[in-house]
Amino acid sequence: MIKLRTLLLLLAFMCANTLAHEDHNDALLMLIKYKLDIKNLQTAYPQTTASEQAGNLQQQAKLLNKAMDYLKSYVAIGENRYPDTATYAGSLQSRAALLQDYQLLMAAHLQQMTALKPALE
Amino acid sequence: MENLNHWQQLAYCATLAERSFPNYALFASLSKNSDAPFMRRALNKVWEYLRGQLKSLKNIENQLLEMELKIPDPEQFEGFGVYPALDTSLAIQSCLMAIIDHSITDAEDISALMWARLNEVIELQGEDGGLTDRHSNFEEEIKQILAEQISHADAVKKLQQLAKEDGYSHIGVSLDD
Repeated sequence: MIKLRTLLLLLAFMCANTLAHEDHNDALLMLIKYKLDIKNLQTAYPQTTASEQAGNLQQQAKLLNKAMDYLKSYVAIGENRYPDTATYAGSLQSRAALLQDYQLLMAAHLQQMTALKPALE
Repeated sequence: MENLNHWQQLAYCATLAERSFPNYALFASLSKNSDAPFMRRALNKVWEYLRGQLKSLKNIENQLLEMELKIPDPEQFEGFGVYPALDTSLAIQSCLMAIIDHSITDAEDISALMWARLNEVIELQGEDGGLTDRHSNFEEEIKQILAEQISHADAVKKLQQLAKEDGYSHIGVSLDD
């Protein structure tokens, strides 16, 4: 049975446009990816020069904007997309945690931006 | 999950990354890229840190810089395999970042990502085949090990054994077949 499953998976790994691939999984994937990328930029920020800081903040803003589109579609996923209520409940917790993470990222972004502004003026 | 401390969250994430590693290795092999050994070394560094044996964080910073170039881009690859491989990469990247920045606690997100991919695979196969129970039990066992009053080194040993136990990833990929 496991061999057959492996064969099926092997085919899916190679074939393009797999029907089962869901957009909402992409949203979660990209939200985690952007979160890590933004966090990376924010961690690097204090060690950068004043001119690099402006670029760093622009990059952060760009990623935050992209993430917002995914966030909108991810939090709107309906209950019927989940196999059972337990999985759905788990997903709601995950959504809440992600929203909180992004709120913290935005707060840090704002703080870094506010600190940079007087230096540029 | 939110009751876990930073070390526990990191260990949770590393165990999920370890369990899903065959997905990355299979993708790397099928797409003929040679990044699997790099990813393996990066994950080994995370385990080293969890055991308290990591000598320098400089190495982690370098790994993170290099990793940005190694994370597969779904737009560059055809096939479903790029997604589970990306999940594994992000889990490892999150672990490395959490070593440097203790405010990062992504176990919940990475767990959600693994579950989402598993559900996708079940949909693809048209049957569960016991994968859901297997993954539920796996995550439950991680929590049990993390709750045990044992040394970090012993916990890491148990978690690594658990992740590699039957040689299959959470979605059922094995490199031995």
